[in-house]
Amino acid sequence: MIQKKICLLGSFAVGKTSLVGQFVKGIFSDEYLSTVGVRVDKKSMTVGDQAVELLVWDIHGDDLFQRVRDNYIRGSAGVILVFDGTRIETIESVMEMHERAIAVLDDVPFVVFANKCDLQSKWQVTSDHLAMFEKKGWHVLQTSAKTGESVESGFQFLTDAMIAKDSSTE
Amino acid sequence: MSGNSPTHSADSNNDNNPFVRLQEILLSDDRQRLDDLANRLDRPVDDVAVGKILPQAIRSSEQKPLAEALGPTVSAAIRESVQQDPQPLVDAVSPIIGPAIRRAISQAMRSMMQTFNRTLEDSFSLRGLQWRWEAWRTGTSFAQVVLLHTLVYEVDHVFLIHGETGLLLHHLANQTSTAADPNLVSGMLTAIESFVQDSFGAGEDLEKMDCGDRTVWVEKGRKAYLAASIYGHAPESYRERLQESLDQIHHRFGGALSKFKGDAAPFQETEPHLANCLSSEFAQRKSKSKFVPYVLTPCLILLALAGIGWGSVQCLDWYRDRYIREYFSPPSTAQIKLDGNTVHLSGTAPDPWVRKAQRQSESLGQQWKVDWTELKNSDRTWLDFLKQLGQTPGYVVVHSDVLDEGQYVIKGLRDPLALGFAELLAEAGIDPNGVTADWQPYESLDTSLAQQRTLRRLALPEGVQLQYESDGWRLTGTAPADWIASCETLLRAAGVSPVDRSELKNADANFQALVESLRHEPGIVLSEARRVDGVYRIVGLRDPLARTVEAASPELDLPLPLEQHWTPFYSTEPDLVLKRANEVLQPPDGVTIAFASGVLQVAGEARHAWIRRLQQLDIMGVSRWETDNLMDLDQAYAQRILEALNQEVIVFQPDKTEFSDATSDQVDQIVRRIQALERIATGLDCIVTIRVVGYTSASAPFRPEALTLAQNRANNTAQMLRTKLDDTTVRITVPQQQDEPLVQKTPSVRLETKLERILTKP
Repeated sequence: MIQKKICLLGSFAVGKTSLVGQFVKGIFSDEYLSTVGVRVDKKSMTVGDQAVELLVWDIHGDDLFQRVRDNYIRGSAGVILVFDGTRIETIESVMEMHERAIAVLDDVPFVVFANKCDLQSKWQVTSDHLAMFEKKGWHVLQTSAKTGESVESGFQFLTDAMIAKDSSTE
Repeated sequence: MSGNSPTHSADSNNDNNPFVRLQEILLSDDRQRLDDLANRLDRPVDDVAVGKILPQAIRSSEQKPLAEALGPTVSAAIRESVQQDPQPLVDAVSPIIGPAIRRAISQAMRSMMQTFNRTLEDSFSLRGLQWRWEAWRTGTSFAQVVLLHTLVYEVDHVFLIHGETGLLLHHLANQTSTAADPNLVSGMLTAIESFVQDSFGAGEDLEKMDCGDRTVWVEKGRKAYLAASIYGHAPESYRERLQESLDQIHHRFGGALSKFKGDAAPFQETEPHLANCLSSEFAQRKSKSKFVPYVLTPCLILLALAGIGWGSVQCLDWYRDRYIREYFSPPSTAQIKLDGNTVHLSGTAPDPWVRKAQRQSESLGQQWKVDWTELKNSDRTWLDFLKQLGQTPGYVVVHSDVLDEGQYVIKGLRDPLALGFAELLAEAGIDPNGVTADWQPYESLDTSLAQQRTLRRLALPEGVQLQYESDGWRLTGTAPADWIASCETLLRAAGVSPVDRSELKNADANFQALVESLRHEPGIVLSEARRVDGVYRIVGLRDPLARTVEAASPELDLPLPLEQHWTPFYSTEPDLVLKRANEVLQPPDGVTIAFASGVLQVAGEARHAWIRRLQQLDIMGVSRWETDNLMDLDQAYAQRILEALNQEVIVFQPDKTEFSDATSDQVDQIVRRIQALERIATGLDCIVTIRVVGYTSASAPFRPEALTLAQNRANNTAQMLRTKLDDTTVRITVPQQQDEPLVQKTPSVRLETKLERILTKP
């Protein structure tokens, strides 16, 4: 079995904790997020015959009281960037988080979750935004922590990419 | 050589051959050697010779191939030897194995005896009984409970964690321990470690974490670290063991640690190193009293059991109380009270103890209930306080900590204008003696504090307010004209610009308006009005009943600071004289007062006492009184009673001198009226005088005794009245009848009542 540390980044209230709460196994309470600024959970995946255990570091988003700590990002083999599709301004923070992750981790696989896609009536992300991501070569999935849409496939995409990267460097 | 005769004949044949002779001379030695070798080869193997060279051959050979070659042979030889006769081998190895076995058995026996002794000692001591109770209640074996309490420390989990990723490389736990998912625990440990580093500087490694009875020790290496979960208190030497193990792991698995990409399989081999870190130690008993536990305690228990009923109950309660106290071992700031099966906790306690107590309460047994409502978590209070402090303008908390002894430490920055720290502590209900604070001064950018600071720097004149509102700075109030003229410069210098001055009033102009107003104010005579050293000063005379300066000029914003120096005087202004008269006289309802041309007119109705006081008063400004229209209510009332009494006729039966039944009500009413008159007369400085006069009937023919009858009737009436009235305030007389009787229609008695002033009274 292979273990991989991944981190979940995004600004405050984009739905990171809901993604983790519903699809990832955890034992620690939400209090860790507001105190230590991070909570570690676990998710089991497979790539071919290979079992992969993801240690998901749900990192408290930037807000008035806390900044994302670089030390939490360090050592991650992959990154999930999350923004809230109903709040267009959260895209900008995803860009910032991406830059910071690159600065700390160099070139690691990542995937972008455009979350809350179940709230279509309030959806603010346009095809232009998605085109911008595609132009950058980013893999963006419209996800919903509520309905589970594209969440599993997002984790799978990232896991595949991490294992493929390991194979290519060996 | 005699044995060589056949050859000799041939030799003799060759003796004369020179070539043969030369051959013999040159090769005879070699031929001899060849003959010897040929002889040796023809003979069987020489054992002795092999025996001589074999040890040397083995010593000279390469060890590994030789060992490989000899191994099976030696094994087979030993097996064969044991099968044939084991004794020689036993004799050979017993000197080696014997001591080792004896040592192992001795160690095991010592350990067993130690456990046995401990169990035995604890079985009959008070503590042992408590542990038995605990074992019964929690459903665990007595041995386990003894182990738990006599353990100094036990390392029940060891984690080997990759430093950079926080991924678990290997984990080892003792057999009795269970823990949450080690992978998650290692991740969270790494997160907390990073948190500590980020918060308190890169040089600060997390070395130890305390969680109730448990401590997590962290030993950091270059690429990995060890975390050991310890129950109890491990000695510092245990850290050396962690360091040693970690060094060995780095030495042996350095390459694997560098290349680690998530596959922890190679680190299974670190298990011996981790096992080395799983250890435990038991407490040593300091004193052993053999008599007390074995004899005295059972005796006491027997006595208690044999005691009277209530004594047993008391004893049980005491024991339960003590058990609960020892079970929870509260800090000095927390109190425990036992009420039946309910444990009431109150006071304050630090978070580790509260958590520990909560865990303990879960294993206390279902029959127990724990009431936490009155227990305050001091750490939580502290955390709430820190949160609150973080939102308090003028405070920046840089560091806070809780020391082992429960002392809170806080460091940071504090604006001198911020709220007092001691007051904030008191507000939060935190004992200031338990807090060590180190505040460095700084200037906060908070709007309210910045505004305060600006106001201090500007030294605004009294009466001027500077406020920052959503649309900018605003000056209000009143200020001297010269300050208004220069304030623009002052404010700009203080960084306050632009300023709305539209609501700022000129104090000098206001002062002039005030002075003008006071010159026309009744009861005020100004002698001086000017501004001296920035203070507006008014001096003069003022009737105490005149309006105040503020009341006299309600429409003006008074210039500040304003000094008033008044000398009191009595004004003759009619309004003020009337006001003074009203204040002095305090006229009752029904009385009106008017003043004109020095004459005070008092009219209406008043009691005699008020009218009498009126006549004694002297009011400034009043030259004459006029009371013609003022009626004395007491005199009027007395007059009505007098009139009523003097009309009364007490009728007697002919020839009778006693009161008839028909007149009893009349007589009672007469007495009540006289008593009322008596009370009024006292207030009027008078006494009541009554002449009781007897009359005879005009219709009956005159008889001489009729005169006597009338006199006796009057005397009887007077006597009756005297018994019911106070003779000091009521004087009753009976005039002596003359020769001619006084005649009325019926034989009767009449009263002639009046008031007479007492001249001796003031």
